[in-house]
Amino acid sequence: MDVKTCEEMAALAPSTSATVVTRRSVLLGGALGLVGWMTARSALADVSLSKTPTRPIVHVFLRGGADGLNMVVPTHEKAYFDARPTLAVKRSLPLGEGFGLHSALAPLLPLWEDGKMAIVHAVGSEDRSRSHFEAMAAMERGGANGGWLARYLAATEPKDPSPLRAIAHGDTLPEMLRGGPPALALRSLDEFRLAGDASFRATLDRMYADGRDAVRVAGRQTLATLDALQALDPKAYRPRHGAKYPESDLAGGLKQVAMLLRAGVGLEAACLDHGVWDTHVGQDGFHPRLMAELSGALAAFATDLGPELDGVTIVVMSEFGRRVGENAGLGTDHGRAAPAFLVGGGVRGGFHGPWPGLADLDPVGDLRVGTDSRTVLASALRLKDPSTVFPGVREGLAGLYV
Amino acid sequence: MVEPAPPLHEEAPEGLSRRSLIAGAATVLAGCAPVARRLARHAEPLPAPSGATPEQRLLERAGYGGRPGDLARAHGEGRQALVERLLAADAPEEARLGLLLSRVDALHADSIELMDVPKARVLEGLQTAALLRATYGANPLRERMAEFWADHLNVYAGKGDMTFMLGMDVENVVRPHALGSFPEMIRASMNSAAMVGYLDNDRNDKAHPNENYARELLELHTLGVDGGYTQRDVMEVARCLSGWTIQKRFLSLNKGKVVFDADQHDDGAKTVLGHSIPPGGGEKDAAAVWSIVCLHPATARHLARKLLSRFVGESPVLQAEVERAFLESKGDVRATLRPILESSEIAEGPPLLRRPFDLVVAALRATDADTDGGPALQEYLRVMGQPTHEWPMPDGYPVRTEAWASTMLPRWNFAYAVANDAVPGTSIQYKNPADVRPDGGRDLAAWLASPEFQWM
Repeated sequence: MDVKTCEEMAALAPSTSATVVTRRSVLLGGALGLVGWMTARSALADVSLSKTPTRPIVHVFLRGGADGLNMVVPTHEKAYFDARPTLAVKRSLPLGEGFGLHSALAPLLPLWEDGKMAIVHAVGSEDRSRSHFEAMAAMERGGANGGWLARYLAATEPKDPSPLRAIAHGDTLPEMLRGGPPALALRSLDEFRLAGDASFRATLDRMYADGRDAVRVAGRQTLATLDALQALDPKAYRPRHGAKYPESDLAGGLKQVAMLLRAGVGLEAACLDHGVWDTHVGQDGFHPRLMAELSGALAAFATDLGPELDGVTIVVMSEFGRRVGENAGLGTDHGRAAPAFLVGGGVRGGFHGPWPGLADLDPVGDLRVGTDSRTVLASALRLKDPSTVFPGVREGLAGLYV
Repeated sequence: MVEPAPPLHEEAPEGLSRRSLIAGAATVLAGCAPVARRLARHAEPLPAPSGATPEQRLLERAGYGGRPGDLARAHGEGRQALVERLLAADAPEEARLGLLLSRVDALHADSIELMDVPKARVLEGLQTAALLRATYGANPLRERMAEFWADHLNVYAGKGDMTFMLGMDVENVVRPHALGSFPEMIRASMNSAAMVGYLDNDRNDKAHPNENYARELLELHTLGVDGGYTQRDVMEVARCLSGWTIQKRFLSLNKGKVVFDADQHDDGAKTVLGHSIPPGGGEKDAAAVWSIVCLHPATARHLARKLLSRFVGESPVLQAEVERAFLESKGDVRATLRPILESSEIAEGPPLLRRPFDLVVAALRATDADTDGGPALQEYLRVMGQPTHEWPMPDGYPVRTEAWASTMLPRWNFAYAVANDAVPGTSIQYKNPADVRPDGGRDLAAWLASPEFQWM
């Protein structure tokens, strides 16, 4: 999305709603109303036909603080091997520029080699507390109250937004989606079915018809989503291009995202959580499994999207990285910066952002932050004036996207 | 017990804290008026005041809502008597609760014996016990606070063998002190194998301190993230706690218990929040940390804020009063709660959203249900996102409305099932919801699924 200024952002919103049938017509017309909507509003179709500026964003948050140093290994740094006598990754897949990819991330290598994946070094926030919750809050808020994604969705909201415009894969809403237009927490499309008979449904329609409090707003959105999903059959979804999703919560979530994108129900933002990456103890026991889950799921998703991957922006980041030196429990403690992985959406493959190096650590012994997470996100959202979403941020990360 | 230490600032001020963001939020987007206007449109207004009486509010927030007849009884005795009864929490428990709980082996066996039982069954027992106690407990405020502290001192059952240790954590840490002494609860928690294992202190030794427990002890359990400690303090506390581990030797009488391994303790001098801890303190170092942090003014502020968010939402006036009550009573939970329960805010403030556990228990109580608290009900809690002991991060399940009001579907499905006696192991003795809440209507499913029932 090319939004230049705050005023343009505000002006832009109505134009994106042209093809959307209203919620009322969906409610009245049920599945019939939806057919027109779905055909007119396939996000992927939109993107490939370049008719609307909508470019869906898929955000994967690695909760718990991912040890980036063992994911994108600084093989050229002797200090890395010195600081991690047991945990250092001795053999990795060469990425160039003195870095190697952990073998558990191998499924991502084809994307890297095709130039469809970027790695931004040492991404972090300005929060220095090393608290999971403060660091997540800093990153998810992006410098203002409420979530950065919620602000973006508010700024670009069409007149009759799809009830499935923004979803979180899970039971609760992540902070990045809070405080803006209604977003839906949803674990399983399959199980998104209302119990009871038509009269229970009619009662709910009546009870939730009015009111602007959080529960009534969520209730109306839930009812509209039930209608929107009625026309879909998640079980019948067949991934394309030979994609095989592994068995994991993340892979299942991404598969659902792919299905919704294909179905053209107006999905613009999807948030998925993965983890917990908090490897204080026995890191080698589970860090590789987490990486394998992540890479397997992402690779399947990218394969499934095929050429349409260029129209979908995938962002993977963590609230912080981990200490350079290993601890007594053969794990690592909380640090500051970790790499961000960006796939698709017209990203310029390769490394981005400065590598702060291991020679000049911060006083606690952590890799310094080289790139503010907000500049990465501003680029991913194609914001010409990032301050509309991230107050005080003037520029995105130059050259990250084509 | 201890003189409060002045906060040290060895590092530059730490990032933007959550609180400073909240304070500055209104102005921060002022530069982009259209976006700010759009956001304002989506501000999450609370529903109109429900017209609940103070007694009803107390039953719902200082308990899990009334059973048929409870509200009439509360109105009869009056608010002050109700507050005293809730705080005293000395009513004898019903026989059926004791009977149901006697079947939960996780509450009666120690972690070593339990390891012969399948993990899933142990967890199921713990979840069942939590639900039964909330539903049938004769002392609602004690049950409320047991849930509050279980969140405050969260231990995730899914990590390692924590499931086997959680029963003892519930019995020895959270429940005995739920309305008692906060410092004693923290002392018990520091000696709980579940906590020591969950936050990796069993892997904290003098050569390589592990900061996990030290950090959360300061950030989450006591001082709060804006409590004035630094990264240096976290590392010093980790050194103080080094050597505290779980006895793993098979033949030891203490197997599975928290023990002190002097060989793994860093016995050098330390400084925590400005207090010098001399070298050679051994196991006394942990006690020193305990005495520095438990009654620190920052701890009072942190706990007051958390209690208020759970009972009334934010209240600057009450905040100071609750902090004072905590410090003057040396961390007595009853004394700390009293100003909250007696406040006008709890009676007149805006509604609070029921979390899934609140909703399920409130529905069971309102319908006077007979329940085994078993897997069928637990599955509803899982789908709603709040299975007991399964929040993976150490901060406990979220409280804020924004986290939970993101889809209503599982709540509606639960309401429909319970009202139609379609939850295996649970049958309702439906009497008259109007006795429970004035807005209780005739259509039970509709009432439980209504917007009004989601708030308290």
